[in-house]
Amino acid sequence: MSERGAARAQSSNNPFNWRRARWIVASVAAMLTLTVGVAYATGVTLKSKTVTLPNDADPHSASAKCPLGTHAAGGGVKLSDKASDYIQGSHPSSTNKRLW
Amino acid sequence: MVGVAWRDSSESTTSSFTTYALCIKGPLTYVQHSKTLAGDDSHHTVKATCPSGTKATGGGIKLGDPDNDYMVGTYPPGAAGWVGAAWRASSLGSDATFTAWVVCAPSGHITVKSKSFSLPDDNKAHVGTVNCGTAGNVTGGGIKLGDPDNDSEEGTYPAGKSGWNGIAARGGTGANTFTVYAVCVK
Repeated sequence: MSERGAARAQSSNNPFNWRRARWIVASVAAMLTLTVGVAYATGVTLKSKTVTLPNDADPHSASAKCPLGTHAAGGGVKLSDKASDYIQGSHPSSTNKRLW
Repeated sequence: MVGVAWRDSSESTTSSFTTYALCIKGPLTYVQHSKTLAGDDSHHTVKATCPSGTKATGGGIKLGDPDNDYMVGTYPPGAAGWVGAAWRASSLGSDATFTAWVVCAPSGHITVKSKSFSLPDDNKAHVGTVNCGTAGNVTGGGIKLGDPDNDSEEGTYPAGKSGWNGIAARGGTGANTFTVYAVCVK
């Protein structure tokens, strides 16, 4: 191909490449948006951990662990004896984001 | 972490408690903020705030002296933060610390739902439930007492994956209220 022919071919290909690049970017963005949306809407997993609470007037802790690949978005505590027991804390782990 | 509970030593048997975690795959940011808890027989609050452009999915509270202090509230004051409320007796003769935690996700389909419930003057536990309904799945929640200096918080935990339960008991005189919150993500 002559030098002029090669330049014309490159020129005629450029618009196609830009359109293709824009299409790829838009597709990836749409897939990411859909993925995040689906993850929040359907991907909530509820985990729990029940432990014995000794009658010793000392605070005791328990952790519920999220599945691999997920993190704790929130959590809480339920007492079995609401008349004599107290909740003394409920928070995420400071060292492991899978624990509440 | 962590759920923390305490049982009176005058009880003759052990009991149990359950800690819950609601888990998602989205990118999350964890923020904590601590402050002094005055030993003055009054409740105090501490707030953790989400970074700009994010909203709270859940949150909680950690007591610096869980042997002596009381957790009397954990709830979202709006869309982008979390409040912890605690009480410390003046008879201890010193102050302590307490910490609020908030978990934050990019702003989007996150909705805070709340409902106020009556709390009769009967010193019994009363349950209030807030459901997410069409707002999606629950990722966190909390409870706010109408009279945190006299009432007690006896439960704050998910009602399955679609709502939140708050349990309170009245220690003061006359009827009062408590509010249950559910953070819902769609």
